[in-house]
Amino acid sequence: MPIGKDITEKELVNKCLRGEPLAQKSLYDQYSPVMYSICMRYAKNAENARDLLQESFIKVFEGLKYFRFQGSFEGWLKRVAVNTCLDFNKKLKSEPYNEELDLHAQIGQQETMNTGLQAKDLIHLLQKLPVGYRTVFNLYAIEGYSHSEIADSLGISDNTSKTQLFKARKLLQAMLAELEK
Amino acid sequence: MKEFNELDELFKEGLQNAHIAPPAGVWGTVASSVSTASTATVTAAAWIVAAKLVVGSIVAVSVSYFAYHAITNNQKEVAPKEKITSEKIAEKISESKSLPAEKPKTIDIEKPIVKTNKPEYYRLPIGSNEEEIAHENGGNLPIGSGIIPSNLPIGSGIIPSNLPTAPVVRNNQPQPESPAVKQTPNNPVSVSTCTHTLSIVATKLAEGMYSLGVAGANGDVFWNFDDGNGYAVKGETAMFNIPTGKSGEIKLKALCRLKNGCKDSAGFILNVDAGTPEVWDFLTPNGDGYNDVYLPLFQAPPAYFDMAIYDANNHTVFHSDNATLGWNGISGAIQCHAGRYLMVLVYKSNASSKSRTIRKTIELIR
Repeated sequence: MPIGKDITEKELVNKCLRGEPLAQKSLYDQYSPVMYSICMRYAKNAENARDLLQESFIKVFEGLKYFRFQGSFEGWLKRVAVNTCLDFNKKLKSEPYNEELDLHAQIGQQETMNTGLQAKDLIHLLQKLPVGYRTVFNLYAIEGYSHSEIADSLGISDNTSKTQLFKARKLLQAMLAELEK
Repeated sequence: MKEFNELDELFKEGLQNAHIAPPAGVWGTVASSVSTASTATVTAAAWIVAAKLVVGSIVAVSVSYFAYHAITNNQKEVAPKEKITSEKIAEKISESKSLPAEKPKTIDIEKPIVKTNKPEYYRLPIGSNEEEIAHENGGNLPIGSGIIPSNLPIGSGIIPSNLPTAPVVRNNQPQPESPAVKQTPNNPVSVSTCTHTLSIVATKLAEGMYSLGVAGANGDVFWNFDDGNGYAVKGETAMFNIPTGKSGEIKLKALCRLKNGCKDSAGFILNVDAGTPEVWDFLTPNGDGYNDVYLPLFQAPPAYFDMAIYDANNHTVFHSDNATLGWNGISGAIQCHAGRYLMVLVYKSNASSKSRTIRKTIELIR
């Protein structure tokens, strides 16, 4: 029997904790789109995002018993996804942080877009940034973290965070300008 | 060319609450991992129960066997005596003179399997770092792991009693050869095979909640959460919650008993700042008692607090340097419009010498 739409968040979590497969699937169906959009923002490509989504949900089901309903459940899920992405990006040490982009070559391959940029278009632009720029931009501009918080969570200095944000913005500006031409 | 703040807004508005349908097939992998994890838990529990049953059965059979023999011998002793006559007495006397003295008859009691000496799951040389763990655990290893009961008998068939002696390894470095680690046919472990591969991977799931895992493990992993209980948790992954009110350094340690007999360990230090506040991204000043006032929540009163709320035109609509005084959606005597505002909080916790800043866009909902 499918899980009804009127089921509360708490009931859904409790059912998941009891190991009910339908509830687990329902939780996945309900929250995977928002978590996948986070993974897409932080990942380099859709394949990485898929792996991150998978890892995030495994952590969610492992950690569900520790969720105490003291805050927003969706907020908790988002934090799990963001932290999973940050851990993944930390491992990408081989990728140079100051990677230069061949904007013309990359943007030239894009399809022509309308004036209104869709979420997928914006993600496409973010994914073109080097991992360090992308991570700092995501944390600062979208998640609302301060530079000191970013510095703490990424193990970098405040100034590095500021520099990376500046460079990320410059690159994004250039990419958008190219698109507007 | 877009200004930086416009650029940020463009991405924030476009992506903060974006929903993108995930590719097919992800759920299948997640579901199988979740079911595998629960099956593994059940299997582990089943093995423990089975082990206990086997041990119990062996003990019961041994005790029964012992009791049976004791009763049989007693029965032999109390068996009806033959009628004693003077002829038989004379016959016995002559037999005793001609034959060598018979050894006193002893009851042949088969030794029970259960030994009462110290458990010997891991025969470790003195001076190994396992000894340190034994000390931390009050002398028994590894109590509280929930996997291996501390009173399991040797040779019961559950745990082989001929485990090789592990070499002395401190800080993951092979130690100079000693008699305890000398390679013999009974002790096939070579010091040179011990290499450091273990590392801890910690993922913050939520405030104060971490998922821990290890990389490079090739055997049983035990966790020490710096809580005085020693290496009390077993498993390649573990969940760790920072105890309420705990601050400062928490040293998390993992120890792996490698399959080749070596041991490897890794450490991870968590710096806990108990002064980090919880902040929300909205307020609803409608008098219902819920979220009427916007105020960051501190676990302990901060040493310094300065919160300002700015409107879209960068005008300060509220300012407070009192950690108990929040914003109720009113600026002066004017009720602010519903919409987005920027909150900038500068605070310093008692445990930290450094001030921190949190910027957050908040939504005033009316």
